[in-house]
Amino acid sequence: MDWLEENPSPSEWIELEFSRLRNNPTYEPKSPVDQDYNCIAFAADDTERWWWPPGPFGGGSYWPPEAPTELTVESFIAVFRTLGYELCSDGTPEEGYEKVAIYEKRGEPTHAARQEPDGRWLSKLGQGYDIVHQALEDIGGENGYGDVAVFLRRIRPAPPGTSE
Amino acid sequence: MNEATLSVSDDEFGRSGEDRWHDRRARVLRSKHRHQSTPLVISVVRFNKWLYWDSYPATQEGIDVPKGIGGPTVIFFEPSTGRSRFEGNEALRAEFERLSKIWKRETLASSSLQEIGSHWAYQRIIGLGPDVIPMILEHVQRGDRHWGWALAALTGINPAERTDSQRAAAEAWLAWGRKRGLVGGESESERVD
Repeated sequence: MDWLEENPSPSEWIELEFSRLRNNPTYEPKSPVDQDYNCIAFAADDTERWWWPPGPFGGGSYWPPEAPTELTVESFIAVFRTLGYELCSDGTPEEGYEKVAIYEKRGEPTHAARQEPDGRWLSKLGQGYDIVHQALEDIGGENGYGDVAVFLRRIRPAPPGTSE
Repeated sequence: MNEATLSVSDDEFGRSGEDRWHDRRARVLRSKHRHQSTPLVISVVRFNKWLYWDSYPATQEGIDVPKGIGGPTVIFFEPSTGRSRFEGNEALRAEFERLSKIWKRETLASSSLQEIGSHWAYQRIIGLGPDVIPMILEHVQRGDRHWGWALAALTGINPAERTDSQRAAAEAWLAWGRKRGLVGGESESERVD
């Protein structure tokens, strides 16, 4: 893809887009660029589809039918409720729980990050890379995804291939 | 029919200086066929410095023109070289590639379909008109995503409306484009690595 020819290094592009990650050794790219899924899909553990409220022409994206299609944080909360998440107070790691943080900027949802068992956060950066980062603020701010609006949590699913 | 041919709406006609001759001829033909609702095909044959042409309804060639491109429509095709007017439009291609690069660079980090589709460069690409449809389809064929809104806006139809993934939407548009000879080759799902 031609835009990558100008940005051969993942870190070069990531640090250009998210200035708070510049000279920050705590983040780590985890995947190549993939335009088929976005942050909401990734937080929902789907790497095949683009999860977002449908646009004017429809098609090309997925949005759970139970969730409202308005571009609001409430709609995004409804999406994660369909996956068994409930609102919680903060992003402090809790044993046995998986957490998701939903960001907003200028009143609209922009991003979702999913917490790893070690407390770090996994983010798919739009059409770009998946990264693991230490703090939610690392990709926030005016030049990033804004601020975290809400946290949700659910009982962490057992890893594939294991049983209770 | 040549793979690169494409219908052009009346509104989009006549912007390119290099096609001024074609435009003059097209105006005559459009006027002559103004009561005809089907598109026209003009076959242009170059012989030395002379150009010879013939015109006939596109339906004779089995050409399916997108809904939304109404009225007399002209398709230029030069059988002797296999070239269409679109292949020669380097200025348009350069502008398309320039805008496309800006759009991709500036929306790469975004998840928002609304933000991606309303970016000024994307809107400018739509404003370039139907001549860019084959160029967009080339990008789709190379694996680029999020071109569905532009294609739907430019054609007035949406073969990807019922898809729930970018991959399926790309396949739907490529199938549409192949059916109309606007893009060649195989789809991603048909490719064997």
